[in-house]
Amino acid sequence: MGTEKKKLIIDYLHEIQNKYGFIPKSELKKLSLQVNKSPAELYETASSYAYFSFTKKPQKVIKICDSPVCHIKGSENLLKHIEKLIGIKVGEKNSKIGLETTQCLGLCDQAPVMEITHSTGSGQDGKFYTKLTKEKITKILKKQRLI
Amino acid sequence: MQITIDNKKIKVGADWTILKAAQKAKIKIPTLCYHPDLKPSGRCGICVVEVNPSTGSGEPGKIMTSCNNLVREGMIVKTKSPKVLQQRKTNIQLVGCNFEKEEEFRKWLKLENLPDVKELRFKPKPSRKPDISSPAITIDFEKCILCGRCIQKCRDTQSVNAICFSERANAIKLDTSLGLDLDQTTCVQCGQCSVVCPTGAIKEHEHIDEVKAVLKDKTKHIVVQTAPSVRVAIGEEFGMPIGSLVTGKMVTALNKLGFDMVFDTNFGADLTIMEEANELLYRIKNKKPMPMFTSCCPAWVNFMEIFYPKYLKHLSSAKSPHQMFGAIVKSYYANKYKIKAEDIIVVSIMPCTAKKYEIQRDGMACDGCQDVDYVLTTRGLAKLLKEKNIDLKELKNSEFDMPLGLGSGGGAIFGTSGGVMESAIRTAHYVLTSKEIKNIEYKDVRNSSGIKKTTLKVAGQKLNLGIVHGLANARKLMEEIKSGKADYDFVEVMACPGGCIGGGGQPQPTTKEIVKKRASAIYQQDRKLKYRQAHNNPQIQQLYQEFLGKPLSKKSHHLLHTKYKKRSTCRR
Amino acid sequence: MPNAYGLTTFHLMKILTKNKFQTWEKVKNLSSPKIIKQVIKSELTGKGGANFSTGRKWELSYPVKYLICNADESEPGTFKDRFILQNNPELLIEGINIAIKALKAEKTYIYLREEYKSLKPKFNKIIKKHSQYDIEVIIGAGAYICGEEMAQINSLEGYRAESRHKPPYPAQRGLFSEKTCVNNVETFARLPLIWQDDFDPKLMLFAVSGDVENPGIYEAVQGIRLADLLKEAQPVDPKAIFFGASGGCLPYDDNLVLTHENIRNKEAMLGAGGIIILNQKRSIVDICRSIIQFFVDENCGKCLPCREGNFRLLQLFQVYLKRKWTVEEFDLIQELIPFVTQGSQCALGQSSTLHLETAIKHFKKEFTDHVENNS
Repeated sequence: MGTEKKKLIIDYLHEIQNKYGFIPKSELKKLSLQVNKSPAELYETASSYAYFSFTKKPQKVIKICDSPVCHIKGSENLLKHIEKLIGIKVGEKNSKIGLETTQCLGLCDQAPVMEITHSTGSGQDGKFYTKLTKEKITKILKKQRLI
Repeated sequence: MQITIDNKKIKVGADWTILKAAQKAKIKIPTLCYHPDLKPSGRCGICVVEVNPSTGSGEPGKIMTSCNNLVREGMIVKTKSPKVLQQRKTNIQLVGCNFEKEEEFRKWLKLENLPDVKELRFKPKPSRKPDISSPAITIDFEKCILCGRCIQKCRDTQSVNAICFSERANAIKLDTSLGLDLDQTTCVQCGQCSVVCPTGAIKEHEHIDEVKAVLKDKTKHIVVQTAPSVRVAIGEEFGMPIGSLVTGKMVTALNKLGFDMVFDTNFGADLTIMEEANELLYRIKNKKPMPMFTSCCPAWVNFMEIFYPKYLKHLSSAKSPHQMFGAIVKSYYANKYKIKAEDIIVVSIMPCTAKKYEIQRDGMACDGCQDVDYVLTTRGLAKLLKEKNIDLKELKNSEFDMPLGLGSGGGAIFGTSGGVMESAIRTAHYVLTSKEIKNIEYKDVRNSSGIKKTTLKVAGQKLNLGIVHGLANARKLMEEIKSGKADYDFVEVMACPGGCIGGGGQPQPTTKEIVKKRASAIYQQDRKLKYRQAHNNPQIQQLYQEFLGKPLSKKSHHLLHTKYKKRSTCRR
Repeated sequence: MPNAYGLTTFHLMKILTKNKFQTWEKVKNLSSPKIIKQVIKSELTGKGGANFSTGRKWELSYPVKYLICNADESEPGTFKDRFILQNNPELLIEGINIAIKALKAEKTYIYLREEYKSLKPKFNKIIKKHSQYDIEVIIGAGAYICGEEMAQINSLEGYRAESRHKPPYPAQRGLFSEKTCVNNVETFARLPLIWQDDFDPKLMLFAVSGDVENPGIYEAVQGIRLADLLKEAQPVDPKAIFFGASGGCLPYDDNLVLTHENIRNKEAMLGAGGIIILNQKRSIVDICRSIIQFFVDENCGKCLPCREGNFRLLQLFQVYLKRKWTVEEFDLIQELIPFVTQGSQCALGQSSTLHLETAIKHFKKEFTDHVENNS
């Protein structure tokens, strides 16, 4: 018996999130019929990943890295700066914008770092901004039309 | 292989866990999330021990959980070293911070045989509102200590997957499927989750207050019936040995609570056999689609309606024993003793949580009167007795009230897996051959480890019988039938492992070992009873003569049979 | 994705920018045992942090049904795999080809962290052009724990991002209960170099960040002095070195010899070569707070000691922002350190308080300055 072209569940979850911008619970019900796992198991799996969301993600999400290296390079102050600029606190969101902290993005040599993800028709694309300063952030957010 | 535990040298098997080795050496290691019927997960960290690879290595001992770590040749284990005790103490303090009141926590520690701790140093974390949507099961999330036993039962033993974990890290929580209310999931109300929950976070809707209120109402005639499984288990709640048969004491206790009549569900079980055995023969004779499945297990019925609705026509149309019993009480009994059916309240004491859902199903009422009004689980009855300071242990024996208090051995064995089948065989044999079966104790259908297949030769026919318990096994069987691989004529399915004696409403702990002991009490009772077959129960014969006519008669169908329908959840 | 800068004599880059897949042309005709023997002989060790002999691991695993390339690099301060994936993915694929041939793997998964997903199309192109094997790139979903091999296997099987108890080991019963081998990106990337004349098994990539003038990827031999490794990176007034978030810390010492064994003897862990330099002005307590926050965010939640212990540590480290610790609170911190590691079922839990343990050991005064009555 050879290796069948088996699609993995994490692939399906990405597919769903790419299509809808989040994972609707009704889609998990549909998926459970396809992959022979109960909706509860799929829900349990999807909810254990930071990337998957059960509620619609805002148009753009700012994720500022708060891991040790970015932390010592001043990520907390930058976070406060962003909060002031866009008028929402970390962990909050509206339909247009969300603000989160994230853990290490693997760009520690260019800390501090943030990622801005935006919803496209086929998923979320992320753009990384490095060696941030307050001025740089203001410029970026202006360019992204977030302030 | 040889290892040392607390300076005791013992021989162990190569695939033993450290915990198993300690148990064999009669050394007690406290556990919390560990359950003998479930795979060890290492979640709670309570069962830690200190391990050194061998003497003279000079390295400090390593702390590890004993439930899932295997023994190694020459291993040196210490179960009470200072490091171990400190680890356990901090651990318990962190578990405790989820309890509402400190005394509750200390009571619970005692119950779990865990060492007490002097202070709770940690402030509790915020939690969420309880889920009381289901008529049978409630979830109080604040009490959950994330041991994971309930989810293992629901997923691995029952394959129902109504509950799960969600989120991760500190946000991890017990959740329902897709975060829905429990009654919007595929929950079949079997209660296997509630029988393993160490804190009562998941437990049955108790209905104790409702029954207490009803007992105070002097305008009503209050009848109680008890399932065969209750009398072999309720003694455990009062410190009696496992497998004690306490029928007489149980009747006395119920009399003391103030019930007007104390009847025996075994009578209802006999009635079920009369209807169901004849239904089986009818189906075989008229070449109806086979196999026929038993229908006395409400969680199994729910399971069929939700997961295998195409096979509903294979389910026996007979109601479950206590439902039949309730229907007879509110018709035959009411007429005979000139009591208005609306003035009769029927309370069932059951080992089962699903019955709390069953009693409110469409069709479980006749002529406007619900067959059974309330269900208390075995645990629920014990709690009520304790509230009223009735110590079951100390009571004298009493007899069931008549006329509906006589059950045969065939009714008594309903409580254990294989019992319904065996009782049906005793009666079916007689119906087909007009002779009693030679081996009354048809041992071939006993001791099923999950799915058991056997054949019965009777009246020139060969019947393929299946005895299934645990819903994951039921699912396996259904898949075999679906794919055409299996060929059965009659299958008994019990949702709970071991049958009703292992039911979701039974005392804690309930394990495979304990269920075996309860089963032997059931079979012992069968041997001692005067009548061993349902069809020989004189009160059953009288009921048919005076009232029902014969099995599967129009009246029987009206009162004692029911219908099923496809559903996606148990929500009404 | 933005690239690393500040690199120096990058052996990996230098050798194969010209000779892509030429080693594969040679190796593809060798038998599996012969390849494995050569890898053992080369003394190549795993670059995911364990530093175990790759050839020996293959010998014990051979043959496997599944091969997994662990590209889920998420350790704070570690970005060496990203460097290879961005700059020389052909080398990775070539290495994977060699591994597949050696282990007779039927299917290979490259588990790529979600943040690197923009690299997937390029990988698929290279695979299509240069590999006849079944290699599939799977995108992760933001879980540090999935960098641990058992959790990665769980993730591929469609389960929660949660680790699993060992045994069974992947070589016995891994992905979908089949024999499996998991290797790190850098390990694969170094495989083709084994057939070069100047292969040096002691070479590894160090990711240098923090208070240095030129953070980036530096390639050096294991056994190099810290000062020599950082010659081009130029540390600024260094006080401490943190080995990622899970490797603990040591006081900065020019003469610190960077081998796994030496660092282990000093009760820290070199791990995957993440080097974070802190200068004299940095608060060790504060960086520990940040590391605790990391583990609080990223633990899977299964085991009570790790989940609750780290959470309580975080609460205590948030307290210190407002006031000094009481003596009891500081005692509690020290009590929770071994509590978390003992009874945790996976490497994340078992190493999640090493940073705190080593920080208190080497920088005790910074902590006791925050305690009332300064005991």
